[in-house]
Amino acid sequence: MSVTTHPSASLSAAQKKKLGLFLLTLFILIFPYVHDNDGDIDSMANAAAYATLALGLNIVVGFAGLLDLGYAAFFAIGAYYYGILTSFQVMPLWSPGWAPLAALGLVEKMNQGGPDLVHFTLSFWIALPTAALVAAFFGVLFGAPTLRLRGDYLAIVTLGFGEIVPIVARNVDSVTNGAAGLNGVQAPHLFGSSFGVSATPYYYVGMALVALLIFISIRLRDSRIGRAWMALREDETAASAMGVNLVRLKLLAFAIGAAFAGMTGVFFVAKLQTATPEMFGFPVSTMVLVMVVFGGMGSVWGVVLGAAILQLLQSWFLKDMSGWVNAFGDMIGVQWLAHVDLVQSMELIFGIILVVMMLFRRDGLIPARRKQPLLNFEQQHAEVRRGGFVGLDRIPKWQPGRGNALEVRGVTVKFGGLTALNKVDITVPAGGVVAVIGPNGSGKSTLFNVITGLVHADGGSIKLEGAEILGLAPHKVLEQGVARTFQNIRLFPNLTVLENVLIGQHTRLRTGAIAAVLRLAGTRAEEARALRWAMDIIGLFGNRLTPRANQIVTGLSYANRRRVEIARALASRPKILLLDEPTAGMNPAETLELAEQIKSLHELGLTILLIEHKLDVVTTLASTVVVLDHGDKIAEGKPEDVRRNDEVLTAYLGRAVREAVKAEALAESANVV
Amino acid sequence: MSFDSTHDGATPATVGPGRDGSLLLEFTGVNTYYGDLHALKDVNYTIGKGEIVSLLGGNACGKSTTMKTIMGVVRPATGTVIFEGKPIEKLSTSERVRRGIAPVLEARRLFPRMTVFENLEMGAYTQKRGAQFNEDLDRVYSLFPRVKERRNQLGGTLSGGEQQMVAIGRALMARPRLICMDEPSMGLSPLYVEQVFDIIQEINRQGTTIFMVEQNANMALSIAHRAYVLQTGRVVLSGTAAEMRENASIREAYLGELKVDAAA
Repeated sequence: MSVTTHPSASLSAAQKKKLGLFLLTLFILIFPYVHDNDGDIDSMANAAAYATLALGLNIVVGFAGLLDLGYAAFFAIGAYYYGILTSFQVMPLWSPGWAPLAALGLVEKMNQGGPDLVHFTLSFWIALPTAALVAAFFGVLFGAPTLRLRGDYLAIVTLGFGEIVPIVARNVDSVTNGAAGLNGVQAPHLFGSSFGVSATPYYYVGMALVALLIFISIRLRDSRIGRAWMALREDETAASAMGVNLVRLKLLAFAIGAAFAGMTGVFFVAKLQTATPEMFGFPVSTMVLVMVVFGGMGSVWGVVLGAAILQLLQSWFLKDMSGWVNAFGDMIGVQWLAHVDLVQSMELIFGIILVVMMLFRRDGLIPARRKQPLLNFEQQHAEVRRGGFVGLDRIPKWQPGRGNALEVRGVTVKFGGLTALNKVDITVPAGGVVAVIGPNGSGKSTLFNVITGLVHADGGSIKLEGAEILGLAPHKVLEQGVARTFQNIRLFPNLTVLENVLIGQHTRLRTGAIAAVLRLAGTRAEEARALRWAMDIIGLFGNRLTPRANQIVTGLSYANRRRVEIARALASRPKILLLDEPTAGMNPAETLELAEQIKSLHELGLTILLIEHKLDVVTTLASTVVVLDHGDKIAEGKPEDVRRNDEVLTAYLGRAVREAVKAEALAESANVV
Repeated sequence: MSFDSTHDGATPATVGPGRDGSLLLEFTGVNTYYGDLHALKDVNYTIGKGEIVSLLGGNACGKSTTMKTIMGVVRPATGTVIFEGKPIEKLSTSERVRRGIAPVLEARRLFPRMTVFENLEMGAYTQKRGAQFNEDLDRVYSLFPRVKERRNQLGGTLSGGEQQMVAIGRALMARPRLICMDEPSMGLSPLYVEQVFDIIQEINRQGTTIFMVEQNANMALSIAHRAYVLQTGRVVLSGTAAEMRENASIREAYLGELKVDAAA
């Protein structure tokens, strides 16, 4: 295999990026002067509007993974908000109560030969930010009923909202003027002069809006909030078990996405000076979604490029191309070429582009993530340090309280007619290690799920350091200090090792959406601390994980994925760690290594509850073993006692242990004799 | 016949490596890559008719890649894979199943929203429906009485051990000459591990060749006729299971990293 190198890379990646950004800005600034065609400048302004829509939908679909087919609803809300408050559609009777608003310039008194009326004159510059708030409010309102839905179901519900808004606009004639649409919407004013009908001022406002929203999108993406969105996109259950508040994060995505659309609505209607229900129908929602997919889902620059290309294609390039094709047809005397109108076949051309894209470049024009080269085999198998952890001194010790860390009392879980757990009691002393064993299907994983809030209990109580945690949502349970791993490994598959571990810290960090956008010193410091802590935790596994910190976790070996999952759980600094078969799929040597690592955690003072099938691991680590069978606790005690328990032998342990125990018994009786 | 939990696990004398000396599957000089990652390095295996051959090694040493190469999920860059005398390395996965190789996938991979019976039906997808189907179904049910009890339950609602039994049953429904198993013991309780290995041995006794990747080397060597040890994509050791059990480096590999300098 040849190794590819990048020759003559005289500029660093960051410098190239800066240069590219500078050239792009320069091009956008001088474009109206060098290309003095009002129609094309208008096309660019429209492209900017679609780019802002795509950026907003990208937050909902690309970042948070919530498929939204009714996104144009928020576009309509922003548009009608501005349209109604600047046109002559709604004109209540004048009363002195309006005077303060008139003084602020929001309304004016008007007389058309009858009684005095109120004419709304909301300024474009006030409408823009307030429309964001109004649309965000509707985003939360529409988002709330969809919270429990995912994938196809979510898409259908959003489709409904997307239909409802234009239908309302069409039928509430008195406010929206129905299908005929609003007329006489005011153009924006700046420094006393109106934007009028020239495309150039709209072009600059549109481009500024795109720049602002790109900035916001990138800041959000690279923050605690962006990470949490990606986590819930990758695996909701794991995200909630890692402390991500699903309700809040989903609503936040809907609200911010809607806010972008609301602002676009204001801009678009101000530019057209009219608003009709047709402008916000289902085709618009699909078009924006197509732009997002085409450009690269989750990729900020990608969706802008996708929107620009698709929008300019229909309003500019196809028209020009039709002219060329017609001229060519005339020249060679082919009738249909001379008369073909490519704009008429726009849908067909879009369709072909999309099919080709999906076949050859599924991740879009600019993929959100570049494929990283895997480590080569030599790197993968760099000398491995065995046993225990390294760098333990960097991890502060746990201070286990006195008494019991976790008390499970009489917990019952029923699935329909099946009793998965039947009045189970388990006590984990502070700083102790308790193991749960039992046959497959005996309720071990259900026990973990009920402790971490993923399944509901039908009775009982679970106390963490004396405080009831039963009934709390999974993210609350983590916040209280219970972290877990999953039997079948639930990492966030398309994120890196480092990102996975950073998400584990979600509840221990404070940055919100606004702080993420502003990124002040405090936020930067918090992020730096989080990064250091994550690298310290990753470093515990020596050179197993550290060289792979920026690798996507799907590329890792099974054992390494298990390690990442433990690291992710540790990152939240739990009071008690729940490990579900941590050594499954590991060979004896790797099992031993992990057992030693778990032991070092125990020695640092961490309380551990462990599900494990490998008896030698259980015997090395646990002070107490609890045996479950068919949801009942059938035994509890020291590992060596449980091993001899008849019931346990029959239900679980099998002949190898049975024979060993028999041999021991024989040896003992021989000694007695 | 159902499994016998008191069986002592010794290799039956009637089935030996390559009973009649004929080869079933042969890897010659196979190199497999994932991008720049050289996952299998010039690997040779031979599996004789009627054998149980086990593949041992640590994580990420190429075991699963071997399975994927046999099933056609990844294609070797160079080298040949011969099954029953014919090269198969260019065939699709479904064609390989049709030719008589059935997989038991890592982590079972049942169809979770289909019933146990439907999962078994899917196993027989390449077979003609008819008397033969019922015969095969009876065989699976007699090997796994538990699977019969659960036949109307959804695959996803079974316990890990039951899922493993359905996964093996599903593979048998394709009437394979070779079954490739990827970690049949993963996540199973000790009792289930013993049961599953008893059944694997029984299936082999009834004439099906088994190629098995397994982390639980002790169990694997207790039923296998021969074994290969992979390390960083290379075969570093091979021999009969008995030799392997006696081998000092295998014992060492059991507790520490395998150090074998001379590639076998």
